[in-house]
Amino acid sequence: MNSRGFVLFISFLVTLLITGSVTARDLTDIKKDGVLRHLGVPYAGFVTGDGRGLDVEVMQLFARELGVKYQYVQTGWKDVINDLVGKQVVPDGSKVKINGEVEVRGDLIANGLTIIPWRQQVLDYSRPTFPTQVWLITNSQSPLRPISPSGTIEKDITAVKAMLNNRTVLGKSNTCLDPTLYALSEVNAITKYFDGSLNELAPALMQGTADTTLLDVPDSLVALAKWPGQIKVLGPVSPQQEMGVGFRKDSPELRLAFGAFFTKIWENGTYFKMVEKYYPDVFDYYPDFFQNQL
Amino acid sequence: MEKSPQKKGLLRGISPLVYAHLFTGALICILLATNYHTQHRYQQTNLQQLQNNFENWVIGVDYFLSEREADFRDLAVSKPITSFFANRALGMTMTYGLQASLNNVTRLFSQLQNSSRIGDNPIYNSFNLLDKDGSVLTRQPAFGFAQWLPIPEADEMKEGQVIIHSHTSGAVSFTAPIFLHSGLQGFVQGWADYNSFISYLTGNKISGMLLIADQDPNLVFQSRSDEEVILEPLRPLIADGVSKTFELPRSSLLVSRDKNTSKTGELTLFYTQIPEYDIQFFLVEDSSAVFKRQSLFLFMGVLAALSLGVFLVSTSIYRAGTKNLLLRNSLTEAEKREKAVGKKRKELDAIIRNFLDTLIVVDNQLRVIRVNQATCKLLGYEEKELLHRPIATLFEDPSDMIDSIFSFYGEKDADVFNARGELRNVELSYRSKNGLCLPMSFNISIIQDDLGNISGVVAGAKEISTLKSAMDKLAGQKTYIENLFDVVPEGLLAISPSFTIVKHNRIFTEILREWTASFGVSEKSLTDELLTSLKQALDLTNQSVLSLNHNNKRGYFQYHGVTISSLEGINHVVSIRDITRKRMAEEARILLATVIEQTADAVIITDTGGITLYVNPAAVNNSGYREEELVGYLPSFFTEAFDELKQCKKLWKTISNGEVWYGRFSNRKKCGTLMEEDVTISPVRDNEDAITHYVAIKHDVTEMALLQRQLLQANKLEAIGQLAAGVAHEINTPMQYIQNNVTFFDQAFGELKQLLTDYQLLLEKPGITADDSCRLNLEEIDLEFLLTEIPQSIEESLGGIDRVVKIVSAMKEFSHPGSNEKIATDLNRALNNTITVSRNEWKYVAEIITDFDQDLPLVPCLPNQFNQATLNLIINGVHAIAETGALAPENPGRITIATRNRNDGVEIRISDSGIGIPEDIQDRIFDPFFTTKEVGRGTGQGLAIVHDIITRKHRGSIDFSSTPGKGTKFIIRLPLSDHHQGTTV
Repeated sequence: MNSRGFVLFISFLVTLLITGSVTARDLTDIKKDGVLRHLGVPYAGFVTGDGRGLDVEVMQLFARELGVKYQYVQTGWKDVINDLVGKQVVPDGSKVKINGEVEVRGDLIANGLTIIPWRQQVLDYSRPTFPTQVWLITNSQSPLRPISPSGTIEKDITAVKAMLNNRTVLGKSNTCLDPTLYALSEVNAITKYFDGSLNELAPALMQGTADTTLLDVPDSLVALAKWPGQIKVLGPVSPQQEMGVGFRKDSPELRLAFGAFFTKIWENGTYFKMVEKYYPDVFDYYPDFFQNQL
Repeated sequence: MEKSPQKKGLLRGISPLVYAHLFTGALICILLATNYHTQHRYQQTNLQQLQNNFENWVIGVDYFLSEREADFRDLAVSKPITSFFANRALGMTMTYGLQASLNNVTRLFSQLQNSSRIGDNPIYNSFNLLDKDGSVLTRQPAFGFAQWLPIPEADEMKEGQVIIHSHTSGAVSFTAPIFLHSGLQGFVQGWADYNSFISYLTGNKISGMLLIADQDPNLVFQSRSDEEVILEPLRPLIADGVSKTFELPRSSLLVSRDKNTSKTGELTLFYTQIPEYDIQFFLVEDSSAVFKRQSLFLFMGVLAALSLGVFLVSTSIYRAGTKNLLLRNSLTEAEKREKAVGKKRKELDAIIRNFLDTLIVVDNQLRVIRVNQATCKLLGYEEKELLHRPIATLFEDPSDMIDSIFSFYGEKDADVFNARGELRNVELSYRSKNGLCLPMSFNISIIQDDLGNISGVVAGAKEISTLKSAMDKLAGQKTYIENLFDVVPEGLLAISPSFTIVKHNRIFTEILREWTASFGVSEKSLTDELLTSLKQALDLTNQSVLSLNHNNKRGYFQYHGVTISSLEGINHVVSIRDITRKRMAEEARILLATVIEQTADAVIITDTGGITLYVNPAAVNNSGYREEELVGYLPSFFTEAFDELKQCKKLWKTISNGEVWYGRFSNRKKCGTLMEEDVTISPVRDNEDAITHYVAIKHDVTEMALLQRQLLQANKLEAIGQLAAGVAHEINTPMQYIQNNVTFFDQAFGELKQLLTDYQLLLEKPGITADDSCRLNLEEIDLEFLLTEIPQSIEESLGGIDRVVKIVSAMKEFSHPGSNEKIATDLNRALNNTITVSRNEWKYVAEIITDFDQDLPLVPCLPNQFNQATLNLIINGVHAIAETGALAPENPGRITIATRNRNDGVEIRISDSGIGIPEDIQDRIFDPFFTTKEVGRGTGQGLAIVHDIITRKHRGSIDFSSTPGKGTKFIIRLPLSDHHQGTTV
């Protein structure tokens, strides 16, 4: 690189830093501005879209703890990480590509964000806040039969994947329901990507859009309650996963503050009451997670 | 034998005394009998009243239990419970999803436990969901009471059945089977304590000890626990199951738990049962409290004492032997008797006054002679206002009917009436002082005087206005519901538990008739089929759509079923709506929408302002723009760029007038690629014929246009190729004689050169005479011939060269690729060129006669395409003439080409003397690929290309007239001004 090129590179870098710092904030800025911006996507019981939800309540309480106002910023699965980190992030397998700059619209992501490797390259997660797992669902008329639990999750996953030979499976890119995350192509599954929201996956399945769909456990529990007898759970395609709150890598203070806050509401039982309100069944499925001490 | 005077005196003295004693004794007996009879009747009435009250209370318990039965019938078909079994039937496991369904059931139990309350207490203390084998699937509370009671007939249980079982623990259980797809899946069971609701239902109405037993009978509940109950002695007394009242010694039924306080005496038991639930009820009262017998004994004692007094007085009178004394005694006796009767009357008055229900006494004259306070209070009269008033005036009912009822005994003696001498449950309506109508239920009994004659009636009555009002309301509601049933615009069915139709409304009949006729089946057959389908459907869901199919006709029926538990004989009420038309329309709409979504043609819908409201995927794909970049904006054919093409106004004018506009656009895709589209824009009208939208259907003809251009070029090349041989031949002829002439020039020049050389040598050699040499050479070279032929050959060659130049020039002009822009063209010259280059085609069969207007103006034209069109017409004419057998030059056909200047354009007429066009194909000659020529001679594209060139590319017109056997004339009209109409060329 000659000297002129070097000067241009430095100028570009400075520009990036300046533009990036216009709206990216850490705890000090948040307290100074007096508002916490919660990035959310309407999804299952985490963010219902009508001002309620487990993560909405947690974040409202967190904002009150910080002494700032709470502001909900709605976004979509495609943009949620971009809106937090201010970059156009494109997942590429387990890696990511940065395609450019976008506006930073929020301070943290909380809407049942599963902790998966490519996201960890651009985000810092809080300690796990919710257990999850990805299940394979089909409609009640399907000839596929749910597996009998073998006692080990690996065998169960193998049994479930074996059903997918030459069958279509519905998933959603940029989310934990992306079929590529679970190597379904290796069992000759035909993947179909869904354009609608995650909440619409189960209805799409019932309308015959695909033979099967991926759903995470929280959404499955909601779907089973909403459409009893119309869908069935075939079994797991992933081991137990965890969800957490996503932070920019340059917001360590905010992440620490949330960690302290979360420990507090975990230990005083507030968090369990909130979970019970939106996911009363989750304690039966993942008792170990909620019995753990932080 | 004659009596002695002493005896006679004694007899005279004894006789009044005996009479007095006999009279007194008889009086006492009468009073005693009357008192006993009255008391007995009072006691029996009281017993009957208590028995009635007890039975009414048990009816309340029965109603309460039936409500609980309905609770569990509903619970057995509730969504959370059926969903759990449905999910389990799908094969789901607790590990993966089924646990959530079971938790839903547990939450439902919890909600029911909290919401089902009587007074301040919960009705149920626990709920269980049991598997088919009785194992507990879930319970509420989690560690609450759960007990599986083997039900002998469990396998025979039917849907909707609820078993209510009383337990010696004081609890009652409700067990309902759960069915899924007609198969028994399990049971839902609830438990309640008798204590929790009996005390509430009892209130303060029952004073004695309440016992509840099962059918055996085993004691399941007792309201007081200070005494132990032995039910065994009751077994034979209640074997017939009939409600009754009976007495038992206390010791045979109750044993005091505290031996120091053991009681004795008689007990009165009121008994009734609820047979459908196998529950028996006993109300145990102390008989002394019920019968109040001490009053009877006291009265008898008083009478006995009175009798004794009378007897003693009588004895003293006897002893005094004086009539006055006897008379006085008699008077005294009468006074006392009167006092006794008065006392009795006071007691009766007290009874009447304190009687809680209304009581009224009417004499033979049908006038009121006694009323109690309850009557006065009810009617709003003072007692004195009612006394001696005609009874009929107190009623709303007709007076003759009232009189008839209150003198029901007629002229008959009391003895001829039934044992009770009464009318029961006569429903009449009092009219209160303030005019209110008060429905009452009367029991009317005759009353008799001391001589046993009927002296009137006593009528006790209960107000039944509330009951009547409720029954009227019920009847009104029934009528309302029946009317509603018929006016509901949907078919309604009331279906029995065995799934037969109990009742249906008019609309259902109409639906049935319509589809019976449509399907061609019997009404019964269709009804059975519908019920079978309904039964299967209702097992799955309460509302959905049924589809019936017969003879290739399909009907769709939307049903909505409601399970009814409180109406006897009806298990479901189902509404049915014939949605066939709607469904068909919906299917047609979906098909249409699918067609629009999947068609390869772009469809754009705009509002009347031209703003795009909808684009189909083809529009997005064809244009390369995203949907959001198209919707909300003017389509390209409405934009300013289009205005530049001066078509917008005409387009708007056309579609605003409600007409369809056709045209072709050349637009650019988002990526910049040029795209050609044939567009049809049609107005869309609403029901009132007003234009609401425009719909544009755009067919991407980019490739077709390219193919057309290629085809045109190919056609042109074909024509050029076809013409090439002729042109070569045309050129070859002049070139041959030019070649001959030039050869001649070469020879002639050699000879002339030799001559000139000789002349030069002759001039240089002396001695040779010029005459000899010249003569010799002149004879050899035939100079005269050369001087004649050379100028002619030169002229001929120049002519040949000119002809070649013309042909080459014509060919060049004809085959010039030209431009895409119209240029002012001399059509006469263009036609001459075409005639020239095609000469070899026509010269052997025809001659061409031109009749050109020499004042023809220049016409905006695409020359190469115009040439192509006229060449095609000439070639077609040649072929048509050839068909006639014409042969030039002996018998040539004729092609006439004329041009004329018209006011608004020019006209070119090309006529031939060929075989003409048969009438049956005249309307198809411009169709692409239509030809009557043999294979290899015509592609069928010639006239289609002519039509396209003239009408679309030049905005002109082409018409023809043809007479088979005589020839055809084509008339082309081209405009002088260049108006674009929706295309760029």
